[in-house]
Amino acid sequence: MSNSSSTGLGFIAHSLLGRPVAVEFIPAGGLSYTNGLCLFIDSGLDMSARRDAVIFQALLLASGSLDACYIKRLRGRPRATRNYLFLEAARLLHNPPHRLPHVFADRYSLEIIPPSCSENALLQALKSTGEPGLPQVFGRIRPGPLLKYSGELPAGKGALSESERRGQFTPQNFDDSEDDDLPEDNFSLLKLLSNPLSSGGVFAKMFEDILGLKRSGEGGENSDNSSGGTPVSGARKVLKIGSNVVEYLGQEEGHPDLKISDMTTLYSYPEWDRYKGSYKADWAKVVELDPPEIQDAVPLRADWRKVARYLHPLGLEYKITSRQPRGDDIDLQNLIDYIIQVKAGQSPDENIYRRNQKSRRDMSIALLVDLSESTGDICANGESVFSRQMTFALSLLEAFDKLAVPVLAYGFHSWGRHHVQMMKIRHLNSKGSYHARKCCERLQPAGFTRMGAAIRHSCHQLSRLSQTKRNVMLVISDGFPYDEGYEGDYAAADTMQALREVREANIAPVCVSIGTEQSDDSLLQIFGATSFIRMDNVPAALSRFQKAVQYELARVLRG
Amino acid sequence: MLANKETKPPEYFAVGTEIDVFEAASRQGLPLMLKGPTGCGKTRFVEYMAHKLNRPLISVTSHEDVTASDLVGRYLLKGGETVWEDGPLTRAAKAGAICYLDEIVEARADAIVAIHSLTDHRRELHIDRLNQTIKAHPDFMIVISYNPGYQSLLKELKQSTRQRMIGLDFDYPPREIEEKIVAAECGLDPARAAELVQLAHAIRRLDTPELSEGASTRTLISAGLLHRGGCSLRRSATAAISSALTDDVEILQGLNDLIELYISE
Repeated sequence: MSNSSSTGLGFIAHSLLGRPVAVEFIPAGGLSYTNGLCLFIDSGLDMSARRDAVIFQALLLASGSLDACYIKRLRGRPRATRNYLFLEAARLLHNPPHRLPHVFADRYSLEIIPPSCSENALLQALKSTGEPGLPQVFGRIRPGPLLKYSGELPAGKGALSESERRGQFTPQNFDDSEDDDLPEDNFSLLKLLSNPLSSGGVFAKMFEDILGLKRSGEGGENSDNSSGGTPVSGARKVLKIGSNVVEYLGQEEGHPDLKISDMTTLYSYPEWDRYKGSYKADWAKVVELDPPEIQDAVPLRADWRKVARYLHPLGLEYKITSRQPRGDDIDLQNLIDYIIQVKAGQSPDENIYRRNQKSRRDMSIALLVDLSESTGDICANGESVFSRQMTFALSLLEAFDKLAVPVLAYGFHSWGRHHVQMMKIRHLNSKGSYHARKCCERLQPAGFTRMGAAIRHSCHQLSRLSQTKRNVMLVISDGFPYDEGYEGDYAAADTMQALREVREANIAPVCVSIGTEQSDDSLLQIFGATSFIRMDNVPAALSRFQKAVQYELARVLRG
Repeated sequence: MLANKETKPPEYFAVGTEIDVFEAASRQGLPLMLKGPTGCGKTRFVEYMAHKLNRPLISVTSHEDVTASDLVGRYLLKGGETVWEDGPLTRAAKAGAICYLDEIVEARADAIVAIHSLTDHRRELHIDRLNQTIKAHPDFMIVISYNPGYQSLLKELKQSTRQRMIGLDFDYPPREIEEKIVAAECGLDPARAAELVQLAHAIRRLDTPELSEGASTRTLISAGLLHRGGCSLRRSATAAISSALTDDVEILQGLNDLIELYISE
């Protein structure tokens, strides 16, 4: 495989599972496993083995082998877990789903499955050998991490059908008196083998009784959880501060050195002091950083189509289009061509008009997303503010990308005036939204909101890089600007001053707040009623959002 | 394009009841609307049905500059005289042909409205320039197609047009049928056709906006034909599938990794 990096392997896992899933490497020698959201692969394996490990773990997830209803029975039972893994591997290889690459099935099937494969034969093999032998690439099952994230698994596209998921294993003439010879673990495990889709039989009933499983619609504690997880609620926990910032916080107060590499550019911006009526020069220090790699990145899914309809009219300007069947004026060149064709005895092209229509888009966007810790708060619908903000930001990014509008995007947060972080999501001249999405998935809420500095930096970058006449700054924030030594009227005044600078640079600022329970008063005061939109219900508020951007653009262009 | 019994019959593998629906609609003079992703067999189905019903087929691929005149007809200069020439819609209505309007949603609004009188109980076409109204031949049928996922952001088929049609939803064929199609169209070994189809399914499972259309059956056939032309199947798949689907470097690399996984050399 030409690309054994986590990105390439993540792609393979995605295609097997039908939903995005991250891939991370663990220290060499550790057995590969998954928590449902991420596949943790042994970095000591060679390229081909890493791929096989990813295939196997992804297939376990796709086939329902790691559903919570089964895994919770294995918690605290390592031997049963290993036996279960062996039997599930045999089941998958004995009756491989169509999506399993044949090279994988051919390579491993002979190692695991006896020639006459039946449940009896497998159990006898277990009894006689004690510990099942599995290739190292198959890794292990860790019930704890799986159960921890089982409620957050997103619905996938192209999930395995029911018949594919549990395979065709059915008990065949099984003599349950042999159970007495099996250790307790194996007896319970035997019941796990029974196909819950079978029409009846003593083993299916015993399986249902022990695990408390019911068919869907029959009630029972697992009735809504047997299909491999519920659609993602989007809840994102507030996680610990990234390591680079922890280092900073460990520094003494005063003018601590930032622990950043020598290659990183540090930007310095003034800050408006309303009490003195003047700027404090070189006051806020801003640094641009790439979002750090994290272990349990939650894949984001956004519907750009709904947003794109409202963004489509933005930034359009008139352009004269010739060769039209109807129009505002006759195009002289086309008319001359028409006469020449008539004179030459040819059938002339009747499209001789030209029309002034809005077909050219001349606009660039700077998108800022507030990453402060307060965005980790949970909304009434169970999602975090942060998750809703990122989903909307991603839908904007993807929609603008489809409309070929250049977007410069950052997430921002701060820890005092010496450390304002602008996390790079997208560069203005980038194409495609795949990389931007991956960046969004790696962002976490932390820190505070020194909004003035973030706005000034974005204004500076957009002014420098944009080549369009129309420029818009979209700020997605959950509340008021707040940071160390930056709060209340002082922070509001500085942010308002930064917005004046933005308008003077002919950039139209609009602020959006989504799902937060904090008061809007501060953002309303700072941005003004015409350029602040509260979006508790994003689809319903899109038309107001469109109007706000159009209004601000017109205002800025009027001067 | 006209089809008749003398030409080789187009091959089509039925997936559901689409043939029955088409025949019933044809008997009743009802227009059909075929919806589905690109390259899933809509056009081939229409060609097959035209051949099966022994009707001429007149196809028009629509774009944003297609006007009502392009469909109905216009005056042309021939030998110094002005002569009326029927457009494809008028010719089909007079001859009792099947008029297939592909990607109809891309056409201008006046072009779409021009078919309304032919698709309701009136079954007639009024030609302004001639001040004539022609009644459609009893065998005349309109079939339109479009790709709902690809629609231009501001263009959609209006309800006044949609509700005149009988809808048929198309999707990529089930695995077994798609393998047969690829094997038959390319002359490929069934095992190799199965590899291509398995690859296509893997790509279609990718849940990312850049690949919302997935790999169509058409791209698989192109890959198979390229392989028959002398390239290795992997190289053919790279050229005909992954390069055709995206320009994004990361996604292209991911697709090539999938090709390496599912296609043996």
